[in-house]
Amino acid sequence: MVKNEALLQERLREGDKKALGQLYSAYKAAFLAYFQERVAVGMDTEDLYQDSVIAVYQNYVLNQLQLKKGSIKTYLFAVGKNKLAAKFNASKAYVKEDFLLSQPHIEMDEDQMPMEQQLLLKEFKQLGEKCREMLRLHYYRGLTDKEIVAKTGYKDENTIKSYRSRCLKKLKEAIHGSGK
Amino acid sequence: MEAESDIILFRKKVLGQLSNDETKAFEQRFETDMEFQKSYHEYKDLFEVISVAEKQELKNHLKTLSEPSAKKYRYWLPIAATILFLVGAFWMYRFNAQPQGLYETYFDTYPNVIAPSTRGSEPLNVLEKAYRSYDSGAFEAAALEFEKHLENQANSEVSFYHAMALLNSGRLGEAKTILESLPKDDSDFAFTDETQWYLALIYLKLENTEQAKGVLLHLETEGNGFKADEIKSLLSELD
Repeated sequence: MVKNEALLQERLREGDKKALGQLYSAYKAAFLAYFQERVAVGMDTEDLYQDSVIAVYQNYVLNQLQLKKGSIKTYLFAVGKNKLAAKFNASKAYVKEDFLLSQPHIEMDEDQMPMEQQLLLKEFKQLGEKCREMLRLHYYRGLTDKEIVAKTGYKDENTIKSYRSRCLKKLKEAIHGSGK
Repeated sequence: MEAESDIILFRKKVLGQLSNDETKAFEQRFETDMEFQKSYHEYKDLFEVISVAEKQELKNHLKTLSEPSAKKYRYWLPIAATILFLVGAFWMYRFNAQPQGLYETYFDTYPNVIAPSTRGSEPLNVLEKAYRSYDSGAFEAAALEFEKHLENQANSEVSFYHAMALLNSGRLGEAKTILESLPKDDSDFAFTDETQWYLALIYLKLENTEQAKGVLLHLETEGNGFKADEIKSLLSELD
């Protein structure tokens, strides 16, 4: 059990990686025990657990999730059941409406992406760390330039804007180059 | 570049959070305003691609949290326990006399979880090269390349891997100095526990058992689960 769940949830919304680690170790044993009993022998429940934790974490970060009822544990198990159901093409998910993840992107994997996006992903990974972070904060975390200034210590919002443009330009040039 | 209000709209759209009225307005504009359409596609593509990249990175991160304790040791544990039991007294004596022996027992190379090499693609910059060298076990070269990159821009994660490359090259002193300079408790730094864990091992190697114990005890209570089993057993060996 997690001692202070409200605090943990707050930190998950902030995208705190240590909170992710805490979440991961807090429910691992219970999750594996529960799912090992319910799935076919040989299925990688640890993999299922990792994917479920990531889906929960990304939902906190992207949607600033606030659980209306139930605990993180209930939610995490519900996600696990949903993932399992999806895997076996079950006709209906086991999970109540409240818990359904409405964001298809979270379930997206590299091999399901169109070619152009796969290329974009490849070139994004090749960008320098600072550019990746700059694009990540804007497009993934959805922070405003003002918030990014506060977080990164760059001079001002204009610096952020022009830095991001340069990174985007670099990315587009790389795609253009490898597309030829 | 797009107006802030458009970005908010794009954000809501990709997250499926537009209200009915907003959806109508969005669709109308989407059909008539080519610039808006283009900007939205760009936003959506980057959002999706970075989400997948993030997912892959998180998966690597979680794997490092669980691998050593859960899988690798599952079958070896009973055997290891028997051997430990048989030679227990002797080893306890040796461990107490030589805490640096524990360094070799517990040390393993930290995997590259930042920029796993993409096969076939040429490295673009010195940092990419550094991670590639690190992946291939060329730690001396990696250390030089990380150092070169850090001359231009400071970054805690890169510094951590610089220290790891040094550590794997046997340059404990330099690794220790870097690790000690990294943040101890900072939610933006991904490797706080890892940093403390390797510092504890270095302290053991340098026969600074008390300092090692202090770090391990802190990790045991405040840590995020990284090497939790190893921390426990190492602490019991030090008692």
